[in-house]
Amino acid sequence: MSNKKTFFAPLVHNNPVTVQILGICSALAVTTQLKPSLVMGIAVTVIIAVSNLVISLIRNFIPKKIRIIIEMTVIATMVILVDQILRAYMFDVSKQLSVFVGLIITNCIVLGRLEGFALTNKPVASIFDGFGNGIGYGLILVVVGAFREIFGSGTLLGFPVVPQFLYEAGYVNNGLLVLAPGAFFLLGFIVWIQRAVTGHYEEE
Amino acid sequence: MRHNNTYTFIFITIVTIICAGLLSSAAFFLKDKQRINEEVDMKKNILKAVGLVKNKKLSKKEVLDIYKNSIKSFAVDHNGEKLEIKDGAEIENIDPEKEEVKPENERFYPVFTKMENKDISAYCIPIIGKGLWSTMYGYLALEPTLEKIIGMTFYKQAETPGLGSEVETESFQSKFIGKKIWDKNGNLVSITILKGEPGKDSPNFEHEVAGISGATKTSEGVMNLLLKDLLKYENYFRKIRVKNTRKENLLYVQ
Repeated sequence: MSNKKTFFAPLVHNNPVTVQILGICSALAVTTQLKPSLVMGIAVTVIIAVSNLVISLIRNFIPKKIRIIIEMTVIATMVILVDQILRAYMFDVSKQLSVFVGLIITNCIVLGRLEGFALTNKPVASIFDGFGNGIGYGLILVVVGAFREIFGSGTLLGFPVVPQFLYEAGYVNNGLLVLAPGAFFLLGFIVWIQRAVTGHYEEE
Repeated sequence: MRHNNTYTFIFITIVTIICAGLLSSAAFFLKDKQRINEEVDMKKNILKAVGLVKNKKLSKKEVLDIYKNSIKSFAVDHNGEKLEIKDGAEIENIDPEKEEVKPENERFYPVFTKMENKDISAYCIPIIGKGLWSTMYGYLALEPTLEKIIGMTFYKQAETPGLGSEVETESFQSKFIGKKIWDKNGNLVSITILKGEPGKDSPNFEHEVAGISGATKTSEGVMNLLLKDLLKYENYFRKIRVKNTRKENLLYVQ
């Protein structure tokens, strides 16, 4: 598989969220606003790409018996690093993301890519795969986050986007979208639309 | 490729050492920056409670400057006496949660005062307590006579998003402004949080605030923590009130 294909496949056709249905927990939890969704997307992308690279570099030295432990160690190290950096340079966002940065460790996408790709592929290809999957995940988060912020809070990146006269005319923000079930509905719609367009369906 | 146990042990040891080294150096180099962030966050919230910043974005330096110029902090004990703090120990570093588990006569209660021309124009105390899911952290500011609330903030909580987390919003916090914490007989009654808006003709109108609909437990939590934390300072507040009344009487005589 070419690097280009490795990178682009997870964006749509093999999207980790909408096709593989992984990482749903964080996709529901952090997407009430666009900014934390963006930061979460970037954080996960960096973590998958670097962990993929590290594991791919040492793939021939990892004893088979303890490979999952090694993978988890690498992921955990990366996650804590990202958490520390966010706390030092993006304090407000790190407060908003709170425990969910730490929970990237348990995001199945990361471990899934290490097991499924980095362990058997060369470093460069692994980086492409990491970025592809991270961006594929981030893309969905950003779409859901933008939608929820606009219709749930009437803002985008914190700036008001719903004009005041609409509120005066009786428009109210949709409270459901602020809650996790709102994100569930949205994700469902995205999966539906995507499958209607691409014709993808689960094999029996 | 099969590896023997010695190889496995050596491999995992190396991986562990590298990871531990990375993490401890990151923690070491980023510690100062993180500490400043936390300090700025805390000071910003004190400033917000006493009404010195109105939601506009301030740089870290601006926050620290305003704080330095207009806030004076000290600590009192449970009997309301001002405490001497050893050199180097900062009032800002007192952790009210840790103080709560100490015996009453060993506790330090931090007080932050807003100064205007050497006069105190507001008192501010930390408020901390459990909501439904999480511990909520905030500050409560009182006018110089300690009669009414002039501001309240919550800056750290993990209540239900969209419901309990409304405690962090301006619209909930501003409801407390102007409410009285003492009744007519001079008892510290704190604030009662109701379901629904308090009636204008209710005898306790000036002590009542509407809770957050759909977040009864969080509202109760706020009510409990306000009373709990105000009671800690009761002795100190009474002393100031006595002093203030004396001053007023003196003025009256003159």
